[in-house]
Amino acid sequence: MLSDRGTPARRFGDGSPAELPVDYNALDDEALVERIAAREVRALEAVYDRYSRPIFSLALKILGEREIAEEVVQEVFLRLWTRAYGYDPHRGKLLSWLLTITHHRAIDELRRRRAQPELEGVQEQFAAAEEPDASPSAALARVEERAVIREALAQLPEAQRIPIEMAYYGGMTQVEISRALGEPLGTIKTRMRLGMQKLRLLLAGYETEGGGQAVTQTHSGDHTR
Amino acid sequence: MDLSQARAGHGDTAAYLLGALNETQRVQFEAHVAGCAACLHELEELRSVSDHLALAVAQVDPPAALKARLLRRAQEVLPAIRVAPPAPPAVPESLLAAERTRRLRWWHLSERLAAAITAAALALGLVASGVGFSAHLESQRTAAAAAELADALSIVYQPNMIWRTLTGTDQAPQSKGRLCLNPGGVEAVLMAYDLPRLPSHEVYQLWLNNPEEQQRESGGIFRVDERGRGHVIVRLHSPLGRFQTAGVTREPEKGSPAPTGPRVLAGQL
Repeated sequence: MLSDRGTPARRFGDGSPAELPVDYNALDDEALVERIAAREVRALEAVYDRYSRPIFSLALKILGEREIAEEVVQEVFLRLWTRAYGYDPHRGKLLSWLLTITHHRAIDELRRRRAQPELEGVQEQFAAAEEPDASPSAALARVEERAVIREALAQLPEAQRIPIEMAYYGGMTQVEISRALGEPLGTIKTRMRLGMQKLRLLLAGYETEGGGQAVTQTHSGDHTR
Repeated sequence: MDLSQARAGHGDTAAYLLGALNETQRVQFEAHVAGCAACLHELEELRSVSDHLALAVAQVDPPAALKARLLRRAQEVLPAIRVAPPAPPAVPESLLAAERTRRLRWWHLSERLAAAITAAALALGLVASGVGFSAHLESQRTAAAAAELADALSIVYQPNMIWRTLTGTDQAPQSKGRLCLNPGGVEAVLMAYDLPRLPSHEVYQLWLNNPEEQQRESGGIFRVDERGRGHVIVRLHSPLGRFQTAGVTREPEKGSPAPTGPRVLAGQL
């Protein structure tokens, strides 16, 4: 299922000359995953360098504690290390796959640690993850990175945005959100669905105008295919 | 599946992508979406939105020490292979398509399985130690072992798997191996029992053989615990069905490109 792109031909005892040094940072995601499947730890290191920041950021946003977020990040990359063949490039980008696993792990961890969902707790987590940046320029760059997506979120009616944020970042189930907001379950389902559809349209428009930069701007050195 | 079961999960695409379904609903939706073109279409359509949500958060660099810790743990869980594997032969597109379909079905399920097992292992670690969250951090070894177990189970529980028995040779007459494989697939798991313990500079290595075409491929190396039990997850680039026999030999610590030591297990596939 993975192509041989970026992988030098190698055979046992065929007398071929020694391989040239590999610049792992120059390889695309698919080639790196092939090398991870062949258990080349330098390839894992390269993927970590490329994507650990958005993965750690998402885990921290959801969990609100650095130590637990670090644990989730480690788990995600260990999954990649042990199950690289589970990634199918035809199904989507590597970053998307890693973020999906991160979200699942973080939400599972959050639910395990939380006996009773409380809206206040979720809001505190939002605040905790918004750490002050090291320098004004770094802060500005990060704000700019997120601006487009945040703007799209801000354009949603509050009735749609809040359930989406409570679910995705707060780890609450639709039943829990229904109870917390005092709205019927069917209403919450509909609002989440409408909100997601509207976000898709808003962000698709941005991608067309911005050349697909909504995702790729968020981290340097991206090798999106 | 009756009508009510088929309808369960319909319209839950957004909630699924947002992680807003409980475990039961999640399983229902995954079963539903496999047979509902409308939900599958919506799933593909909205999937990118969850990526955007993931990337909308404040970006924070992970601590530098995390990378070193991860790479150390990776080597402990699955040691890097220092012997290069042979170049993969061409695989027919029909096989690739079938493999992609199978993986699409199994991807979410195996992720769930891994999460459940990891959670259970962590919970057990906490209960056994009787201490608080510091123990949770200490139990990363347990989590890694659980991840590997989940990896093996995600193969064993795939559909159409068959079992083949490897018997002990004169070198280890009491030993036994069970190889779980799908001849049309590329993954397998060998479980070995009652093998002799080896010195630290030796490992066991699984070989898959096609005597007719004089082909042989390494299935991986493994060690055994104090009770002689061990396992190895096999991942090849082409279907296992082309091999007729399997064997296990004793080899130097990092494995060998071809068998060099005595054979301890052998069997037909």
